[in-house]
Amino acid sequence: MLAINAPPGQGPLKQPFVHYRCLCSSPGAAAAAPIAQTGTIDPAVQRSQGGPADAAAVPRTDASSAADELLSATALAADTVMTSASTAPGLQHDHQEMAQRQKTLAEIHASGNNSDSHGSQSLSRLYFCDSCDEIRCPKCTQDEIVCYYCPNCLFDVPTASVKSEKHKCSRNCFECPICQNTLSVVSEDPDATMFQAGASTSGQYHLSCNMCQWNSQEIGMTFEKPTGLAAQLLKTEDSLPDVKEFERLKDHLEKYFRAHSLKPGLPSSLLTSIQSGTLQSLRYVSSSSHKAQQSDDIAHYTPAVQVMDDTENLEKLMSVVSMSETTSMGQRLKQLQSQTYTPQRLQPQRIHLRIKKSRRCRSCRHILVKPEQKAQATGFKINLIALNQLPNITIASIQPMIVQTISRVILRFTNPRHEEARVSVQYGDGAAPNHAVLIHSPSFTISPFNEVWEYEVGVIGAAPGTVHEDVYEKTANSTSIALDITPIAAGEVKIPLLVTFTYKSRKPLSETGSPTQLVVSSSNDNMASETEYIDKTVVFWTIIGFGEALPTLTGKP
Amino acid sequence: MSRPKLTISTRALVCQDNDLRGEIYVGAGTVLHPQCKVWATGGPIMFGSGNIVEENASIINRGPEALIIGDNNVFEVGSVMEGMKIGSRNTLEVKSHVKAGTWLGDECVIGTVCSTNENEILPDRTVIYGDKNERHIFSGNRSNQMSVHTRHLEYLMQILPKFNHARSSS
Repeated sequence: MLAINAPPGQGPLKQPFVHYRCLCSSPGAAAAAPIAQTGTIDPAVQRSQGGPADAAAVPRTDASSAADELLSATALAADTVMTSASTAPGLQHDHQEMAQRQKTLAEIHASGNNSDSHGSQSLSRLYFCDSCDEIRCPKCTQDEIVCYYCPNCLFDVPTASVKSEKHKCSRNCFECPICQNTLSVVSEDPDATMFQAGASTSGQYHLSCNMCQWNSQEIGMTFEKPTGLAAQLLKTEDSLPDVKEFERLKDHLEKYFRAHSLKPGLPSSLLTSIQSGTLQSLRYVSSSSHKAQQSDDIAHYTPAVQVMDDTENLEKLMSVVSMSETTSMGQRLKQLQSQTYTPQRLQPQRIHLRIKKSRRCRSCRHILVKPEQKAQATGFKINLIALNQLPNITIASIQPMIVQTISRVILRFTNPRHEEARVSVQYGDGAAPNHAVLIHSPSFTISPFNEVWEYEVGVIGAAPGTVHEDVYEKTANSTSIALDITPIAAGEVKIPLLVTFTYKSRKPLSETGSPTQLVVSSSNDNMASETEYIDKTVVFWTIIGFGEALPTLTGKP
Repeated sequence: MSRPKLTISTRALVCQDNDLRGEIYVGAGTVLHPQCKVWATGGPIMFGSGNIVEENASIINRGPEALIIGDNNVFEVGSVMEGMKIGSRNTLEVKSHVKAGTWLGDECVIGTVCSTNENEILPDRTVIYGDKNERHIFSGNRSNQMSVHTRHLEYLMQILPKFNHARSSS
């Protein structure tokens, strides 16, 4: 979008960026940070006591199962948010909340009012918790494992058997020992697989890499059957001396663990505690170390295999002339059991399993992102990413920054929601070099998002009926405003902007709790009294970088 | 531009809509797809039998000597061959580049987007792969590959003439 060439003789130019600040890592002034901390937690606590707000965020699984297209996923995520409007009953409560919010606003304002871009990230990397009404970054969310699967055959591996299969695919998926590409099983005689399956000679099948043309026949590895190769390979894998030695050591130590009535498998118990999202792992570690202090009577372990001297290897390696005669570091790290230096002894490796993760808000424990359980399905059941819920700010046009010279910048705000939103922008005065910034239309509205616009060509005017405002440009679901920036010092120009985003949100239906439909004009039915809109306001800091400011042109006084 | 001087075997298939220049000999069973580029600007180019030159592949001979291409080579989509000599049963994968002055032996594979150095001599069965142009000498057998190649040729001979006009010797 923006290409600014670096001036000759200087380092790489700072590129313009738009970052959003998550309050969890607000660097701020030292005094502001702890206040911001309480600010982030307090509303969450209050909401969770409120009760209905919690129930409102229950995921809608039925409708989302079909949502594998991006468009519908976007619509749904925005939809899910609407269900969790703040449902504080009674005026008293409202007042309290109002006061709370006022306080929080002040804290939010104090926390991010600087131009330090540390801890801020682009919108695409952030989440938006709809029960805390706050931006969440990867640091203040928690990962949980949803399922294990093989990336090659997309087989869902049950959690119970993951450990015994050593986190690798136990079917027919292998990666090349040379280039780590996926191997394919080929037959010696390509026609034989078609009609004479019975008359297979021994060692008819082998593995071959389509990328580097590696062939398992090179290391004398052939198979009689084309299926269940992992089981056939497992025998050779298990017979390696290093693997045997590790098993022996594990047996030896497990005796000790069992004697002290601890769970034998350390990794598995850690895993379950991580999965259950508790902090038991910490407790476990502390207790085990405590026990270890009590009795230090582990029997001395005598290794069954003596490690041979490395001089032989050394001599061999000294005589290596070309890199293809030895294995690379990456290849050795892929084969932890043997770590051989000769490429002829590299074995094809079973492909590592992958996981799908869900994300949970650390303060209110609500799930922000939850993928489909199946490996084949790529959609999400819950997808509260910030991109679907907060206005996306982009720099639409920019002029080079020159010290003491006004440059005009156009910021475009795009509304991802299906409701009209109001935005007001305020320049933070706590920036370190306090550049002079003039925002031309600090408060404006953005039209709702509509799928139809995705397919239209050209610029579309605002939806009919909207009030014309003094903004730079207003198109489909985005509004552009103009900023005049006068940098006062050379260096990177970064300005903090406080964005107040107010959108209409539906109150969830009181008795049925049924999911809300997309907001269409025909929703003014007899339920209108119950499905009234309430305003929700989200305040957050953004940091916008406009690249390097050049010193005043030489020659001028 | 002068018309190319083509000598095409009766069992070869050279489609129209391609860019042929200079003196070109095409052996039996060789297939030149439409939109391929064979420039014999410096010296003649002689194809052996059973070669496949796919779309957007370029074979350029700038040197004064003839470029002799062996048998059963495959020049895949977008590959560039500017070398001096090429043996038999080589594969130039998609967008690979054999630079000027290179000698290719037999059964070499130049991987996708890989390139050789200029003026080098690749021994038989060299495989170049990966983003760092890593090499190794391939030691398995390629009988499998060859049977796939013959079936590939059979298929092309059957299908291509249905939708393309073929050139004949000029």
